[in-house]
Amino acid sequence: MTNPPRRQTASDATQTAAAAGAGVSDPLGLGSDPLALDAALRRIWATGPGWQRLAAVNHSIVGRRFMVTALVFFAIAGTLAMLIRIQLATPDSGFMEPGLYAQVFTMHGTVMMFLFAIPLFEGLAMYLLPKMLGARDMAFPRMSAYGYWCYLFGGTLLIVAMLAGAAPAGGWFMYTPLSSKPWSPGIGADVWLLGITFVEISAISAAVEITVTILILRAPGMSLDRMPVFAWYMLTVAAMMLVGFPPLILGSLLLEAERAFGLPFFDPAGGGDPLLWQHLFWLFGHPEVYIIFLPAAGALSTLIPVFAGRPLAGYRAVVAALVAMAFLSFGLWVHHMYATGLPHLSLALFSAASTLVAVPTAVQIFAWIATLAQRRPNPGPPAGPRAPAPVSAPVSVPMLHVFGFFFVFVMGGLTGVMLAIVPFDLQAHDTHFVVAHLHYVLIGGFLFPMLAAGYHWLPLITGRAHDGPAARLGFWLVFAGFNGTFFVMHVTGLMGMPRRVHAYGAESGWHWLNLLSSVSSFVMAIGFAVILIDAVMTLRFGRKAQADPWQAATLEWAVPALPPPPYTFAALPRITSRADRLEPRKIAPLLARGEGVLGLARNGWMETVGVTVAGGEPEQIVILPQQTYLPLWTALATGAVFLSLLFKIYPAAILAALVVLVLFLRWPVGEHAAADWGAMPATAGGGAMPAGEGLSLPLSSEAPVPPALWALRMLAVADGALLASLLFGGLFLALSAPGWPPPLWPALPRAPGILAALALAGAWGAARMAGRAAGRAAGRAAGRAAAPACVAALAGNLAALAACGWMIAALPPLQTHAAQAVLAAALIWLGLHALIGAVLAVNALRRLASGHVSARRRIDLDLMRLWQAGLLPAGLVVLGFPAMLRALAEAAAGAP
Amino acid sequence: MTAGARILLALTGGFGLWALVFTLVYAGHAAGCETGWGLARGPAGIAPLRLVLVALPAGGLALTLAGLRVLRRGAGLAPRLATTARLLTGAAALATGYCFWFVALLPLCSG
Repeated sequence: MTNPPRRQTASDATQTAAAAGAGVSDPLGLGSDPLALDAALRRIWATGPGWQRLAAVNHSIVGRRFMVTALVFFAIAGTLAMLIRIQLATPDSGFMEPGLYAQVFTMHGTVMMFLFAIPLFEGLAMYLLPKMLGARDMAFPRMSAYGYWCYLFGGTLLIVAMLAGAAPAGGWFMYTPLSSKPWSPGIGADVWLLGITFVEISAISAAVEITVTILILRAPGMSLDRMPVFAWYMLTVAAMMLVGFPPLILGSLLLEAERAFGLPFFDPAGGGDPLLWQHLFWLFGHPEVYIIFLPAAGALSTLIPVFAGRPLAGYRAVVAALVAMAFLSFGLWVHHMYATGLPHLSLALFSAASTLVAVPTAVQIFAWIATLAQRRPNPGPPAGPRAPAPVSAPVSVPMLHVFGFFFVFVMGGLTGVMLAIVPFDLQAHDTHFVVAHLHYVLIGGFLFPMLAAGYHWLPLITGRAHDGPAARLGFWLVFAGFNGTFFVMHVTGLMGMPRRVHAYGAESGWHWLNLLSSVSSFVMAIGFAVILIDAVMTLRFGRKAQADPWQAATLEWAVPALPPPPYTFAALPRITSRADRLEPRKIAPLLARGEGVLGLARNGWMETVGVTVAGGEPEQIVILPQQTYLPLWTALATGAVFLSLLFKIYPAAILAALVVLVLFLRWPVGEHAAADWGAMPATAGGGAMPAGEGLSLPLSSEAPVPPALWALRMLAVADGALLASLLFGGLFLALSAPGWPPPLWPALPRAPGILAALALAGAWGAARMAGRAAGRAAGRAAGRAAAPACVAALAGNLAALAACGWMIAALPPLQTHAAQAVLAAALIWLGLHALIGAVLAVNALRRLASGHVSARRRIDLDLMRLWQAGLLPAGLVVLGFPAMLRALAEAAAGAP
Repeated sequence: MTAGARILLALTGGFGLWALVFTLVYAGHAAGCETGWGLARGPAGIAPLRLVLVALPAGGLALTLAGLRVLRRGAGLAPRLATTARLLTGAAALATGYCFWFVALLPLCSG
């Protein structure tokens, strides 16, 4: 199942501990021979040929896969867009019948938003971040690979459904009641709900991975205030994803539960409310716009200084602006719902926030303009036979796309401010004006910057230099075609043309404008085709790129070769100044010679350095997992869960979920964690492993806060957002939905509630005791000391799970009213978390038994403790939720 | 408090408070109107809901300004981070004023 080419056994680990920890920084005797070091590192880090490619976990490979797959989905969605424009080119067109047209525009939006934009920047971030931060890989390479497979399978499910004529047809936002069972009876809506949730696994895993990587996998000395600005952008975006995606996941699951089992969350006849879907969707949907824009803005903030030859103007203001945007973007969701009949005061609240977000956006745009305004002439390349050609004449291709961005995005931003004003929005709502606005924002704010980024980093990614004139032709065709397509939609929108209409009459007066829009869209498509051909020609025939061709100042250009080797850096640099003002040309040869931290290869380990969050001080040696098929198998099993749910084969779904669980239990690394490396005598390494440059660091398995603990903290943020969304949904229904309070309140028995609370408290206490007991014991005695507490934690979680089942069984039929459906959903959340707590306890027992836990190696116990520490307060909130819900509903019902 | 937690608090505290006030005002407004607080008469004939809706941003603003004062003394941050944190907290104070001033004036529950 797994394919680790140099896997170590536990006994190997113990035997080699003394040798490797013997205080030498070069245990393999490589000296400073860069070729020998390169060969040794390649043997450890390289992905095998043939089928072994499916076991790849390296960030460069997975990042490239994300980007290429996203571009394939872009081509599919672009083709759908062409079909839309053919349909609308002439009045009363019979090109597509209305049902097919609905599928086409739904899939166009869905694919562009979920399968193109987000995965493209995830891929770029995965590819770039380790290199920019001076790390060898992402924090959780297998999670990257798992996320990729989930994305590929989920996206493929959607496309296959479309080809089979079973695509969703309710618009990319799937509003209820249109997407509810009576109005969308086929499986199209289910495909959307389950397929997108499947893909969202990839987004959440990427968010966790990006956050942890930026926080702790930086080069030694790279404190937060020295970090390149792109990392600030991606840290912010990843945090936004952790909070922004759970409401959509929750909404999708609730709607699927309504469609599959009749739980009336969105059905007014049963105490539900279609507006709840809109809230949950736009709680995700509006931050999503900024989640898409900010990575592109991060790329702009990185490459504009390169082409200007100046540092980014207003670095601190830019960082402040992007953090402000992250918060403000969560206060705008209702501006998609102005027409739903909210009180004036609420409208004013969201209108104010919507206009306010223009300020931090403008701060960034002015910072970029200021950087360009200070542009100094390119001094030209350093002398020498391998010097690159000058890059400043006349305007480089990346900068052409940057200028395209300025023009298009600023226009989109201005119409955004117009739409933030309630009276105007009520006039333009659901017209082509909104279609024009969103394309100006998304294509301007994402596509042009990503094309600029693509050309900028093409030499890094492919090793090929780009100098084809076709790229300029492609830019102008896209730019002209885009404006021709979408500018006129402002006009047709103001003339009253609604969006999503299948046809319009000749008497409307819209047809010449629509024809112009359609012709322009084909010009744009030809532009993209030219860019694609240019890229393929560059890959095939482009001359070999030279090191740091743009004379940039960030670490990704300090890799030993273009494209970079799988280990990225032979040694990790020590950063002593801002990491966006470095000299990669000078740093690269030193690192290639192994002059830096961890400039060695030992034990077949994939090593990188973990640092403290704030100061960037080296804290641990993180041993990354080897190539393995586990992510692929786990994603396939996860796909089986979703397919079983789609085809309503629920026993198979449960079986597949168990397979997923078993596969995940095989994930914990690794054999290096089967021995106390840091417990070597002081004469053999001083209680830590040598890391070069006089540093001795503990392995991550023995560090106080290893990456896995950070991952759980980040997951807890996403999980908390999901629970908050669920509680918000219930309270929203109790206040606003018709038919509340229900005719008969679901009376929950008290005994299981008290039992669940006590069981959770007991599990938390036991988890704490397990850690303490292991900490006091010596060597393998830790297993015996901690096992009873782990068993107690397991029992506590199982008791809580049983209590949840008891309470759910006591509820009236869930189909009869949203009150009991919401309570059941909250209790299912709690029961599932108790189940996960039980699994963590079983995992801890398993690891205790196999000798992977000691006084120094307590990660499995720490994960259990952290889980229980979060679950206890969350569980108490859930257990108190029924009383809260009832009090609110009755207060609302008793109001005058 | 660890250095990382201090940075997190310094950078996100101001807008975190803004977000909390935003959520409470929106939720409080909806709940108050549905439960009749918007129509009841409290001290000086002012609806209790309005008092709550005004008190929430006022309290948030006071805390944000207090945070800004702490940040002006440096708060043990690296200089560039300290400047960024001050910019963010100042912006959060302005955002609080801009987003909530009208809760004192607009009709409470008319739609």
